[in-house]
Amino acid sequence: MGVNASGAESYVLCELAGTTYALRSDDIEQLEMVGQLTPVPNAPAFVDGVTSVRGRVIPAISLRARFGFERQPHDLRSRLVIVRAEGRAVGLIVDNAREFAAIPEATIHPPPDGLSELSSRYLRGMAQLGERLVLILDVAELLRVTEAPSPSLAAAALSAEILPSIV
Amino acid sequence: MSADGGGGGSQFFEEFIDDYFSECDEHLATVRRILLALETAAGEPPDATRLQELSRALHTLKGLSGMVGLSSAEEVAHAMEDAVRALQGETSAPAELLEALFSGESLLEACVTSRRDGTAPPSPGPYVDRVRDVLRLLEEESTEASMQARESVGLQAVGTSSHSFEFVPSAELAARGVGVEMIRQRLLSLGEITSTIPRVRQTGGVVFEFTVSVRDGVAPIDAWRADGLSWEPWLPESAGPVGMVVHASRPASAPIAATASNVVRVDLARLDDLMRMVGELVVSRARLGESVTRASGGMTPNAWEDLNEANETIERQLRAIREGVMRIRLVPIGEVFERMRFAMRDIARETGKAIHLEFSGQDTEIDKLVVDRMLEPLLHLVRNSASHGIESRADRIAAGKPGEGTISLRARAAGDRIVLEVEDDGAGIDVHRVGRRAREMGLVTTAEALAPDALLDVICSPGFSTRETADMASGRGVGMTVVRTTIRSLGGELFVDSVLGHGTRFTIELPLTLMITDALILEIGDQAMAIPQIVLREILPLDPAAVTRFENNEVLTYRGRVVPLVNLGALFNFPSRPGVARHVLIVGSDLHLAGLVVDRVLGLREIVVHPVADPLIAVPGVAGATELADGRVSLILDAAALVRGTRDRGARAALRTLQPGAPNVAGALTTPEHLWA
Repeated sequence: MGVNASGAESYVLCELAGTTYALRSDDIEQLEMVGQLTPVPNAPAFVDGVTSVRGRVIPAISLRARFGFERQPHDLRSRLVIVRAEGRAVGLIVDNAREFAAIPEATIHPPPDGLSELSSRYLRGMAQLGERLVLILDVAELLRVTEAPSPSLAAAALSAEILPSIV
Repeated sequence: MSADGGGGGSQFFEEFIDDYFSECDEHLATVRRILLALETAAGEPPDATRLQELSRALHTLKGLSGMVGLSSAEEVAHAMEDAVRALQGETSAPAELLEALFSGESLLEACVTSRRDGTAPPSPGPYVDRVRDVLRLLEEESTEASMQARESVGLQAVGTSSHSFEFVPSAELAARGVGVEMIRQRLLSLGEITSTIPRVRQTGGVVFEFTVSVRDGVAPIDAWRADGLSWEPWLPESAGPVGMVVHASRPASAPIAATASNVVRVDLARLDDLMRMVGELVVSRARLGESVTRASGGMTPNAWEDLNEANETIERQLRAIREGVMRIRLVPIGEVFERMRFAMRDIARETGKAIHLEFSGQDTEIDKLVVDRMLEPLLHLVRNSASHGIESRADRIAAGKPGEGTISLRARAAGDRIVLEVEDDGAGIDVHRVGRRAREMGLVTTAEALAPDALLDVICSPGFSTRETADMASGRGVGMTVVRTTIRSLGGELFVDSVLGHGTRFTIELPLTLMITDALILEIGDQAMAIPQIVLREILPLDPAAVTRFENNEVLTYRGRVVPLVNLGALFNFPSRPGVARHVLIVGSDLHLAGLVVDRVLGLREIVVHPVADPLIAVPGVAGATELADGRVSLILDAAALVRGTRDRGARAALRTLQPGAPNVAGALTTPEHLWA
């Protein structure tokens, strides 16, 4: 699996607006070029659309938009990182994803207190990798906080399925 | 979790856990079936064959549960075995004993479910004590009756001989796909499996001991030995301990075994994989078709004809494969109906009402996924009918009805949809009472009587219940919301008809299959979208002169009717290209029509429907997605939801006053000015 003998877990490093993020290899199903995305009306703003990956239709999230950075056009280095959590498969669009790294559990520090509550929820920790500071993402949490909240009682009474998601 | 599995062994057991669950489901179904049969014939001496089958199922459940370390289930099954033993030789089945067996079955199910969900299993203690008490009481009442019966056990079919088999599972075998289930199927081809006893070996690991009542003239295949199965040398004819022959005229179990061996149990995930692959093939074929069309100029007519013919043949064959795979997924709805019979027992006891359950169309086949998802909603409707619909015996007789109430469950196919009905001959829904209650709860504001649609909306509102106190069976006011949401999530719709004093009928319409369909491809702005052909009534060019503004709606005069329009470009924010002649798709039922305004109509295609279940992309008006021949994903329109959107506008306007401060989240559909941006 993703853990080697010395207790270091394997990660995929992605870049986003100049910062390096790490995703656990075990959470990643595959890496793809960003292909044609089909926009989904009334989906949350950070959802760039849906795409077909090996016969399945999955949502693609712009991590830039999700983290409050400006979107940029996709280029040859852009990647769709397909992650799996709690039975869902979701594509994360990142600026690039080229490196693998083993990060020993002992070198991972908790995120600093100064972060907003939302960011710290999907940040599992931070690690110093040579010169670089790497932010380790918690995929399950990342997908969870992006879910639309369950409709309120009033909204449900108005027959939930036709209403735009409130995010 | 595993109490006695300990250490490395427990991980070994985990590999068999799926087998365990499917085995348990099967044996629990057997237990339920026999218990119902015993109860129906409670006045007669319990049938020895049935009791034996019941003991066998319980014994296997006990053994399997012990093996996965589920000691609660083991104890319950053991206590139930004792209870079954006490039934043998009784002249009639004592009610308290049957009752104990029924609660035992529920408890066993709960234990297995807890293992599946990883939650704490219920404690078997109180149940074990209860069975012991019941047995002691019965023992005191009559001691000799149970004695003579024990002799009739050991019933064996004519023309069979009993053989033992041992199966030692291993990781290597599992990797080759050889598991307990496969071995069981093989043994079933020889005859009937009379017992399955899993044992933990001294050397570690487990071994399954099967006793098989093998029909004359069949023998195991030597190649099976390579799959971890072993047996005593096969001496033809006289071999093996031949069981005693009881009734020469009853070739009891052979037909059962023969049926069972014809059935292959397939993991639904594997079928889904297969279906997905067929889906990919359909897309590839469409791509090929387009290439063939394009190639027509660059080839000799004869060569192109051949190519085109081959392409068309593949398309036809693919259609046949697709239908074949889809048929595999179809199962008869009857098994769900049978579960209702079981649930009805509890309901009848809780409510003290006499209720007769009537079925029709049990053979109607429906997608396995739909069947599984419909179990809870149907159960809820049946409970509702029993609890709210059927009156007490006294009330019924006073109203000139038979004392026993009837609930009918019906299924039938109608085109490519399935219609399910739950109908009772009870009191019917008191529209005025529901209306009053809805007003009290602030669900509606008008003083008018509720129309059938509005009635259903109110019944299905979260928190609605006419009951002042909730009982076990129903009345908690959450169920109907879930019922309707589940049905709609499957692409179906719920209807209600009720006549005060005569009864209520809930009608559920569901799609037969969900996966591949013929669809019209359209363009809205620069986006291609698909709409299933089946929902289309007519396609018209949009004649601006035929559009009228009526109050807040844009409506179209269509065949003498007034049809509300939905401008999809505006609704989805896909701006129309200027100068495009637009079209109107007429969709909906005779009762509720709507016109969907689109830009271009590109043509009919066969599409593979992918669900868009992820919460990020499950948006209103979109039923799914599909991959077109160019590899791009297109969204599939949810016509039913769009029609509902227009239909509910009026009702919504009233409902919106429910919480005056709430934002008008339905704005996109309720303010049609936006639709004509």
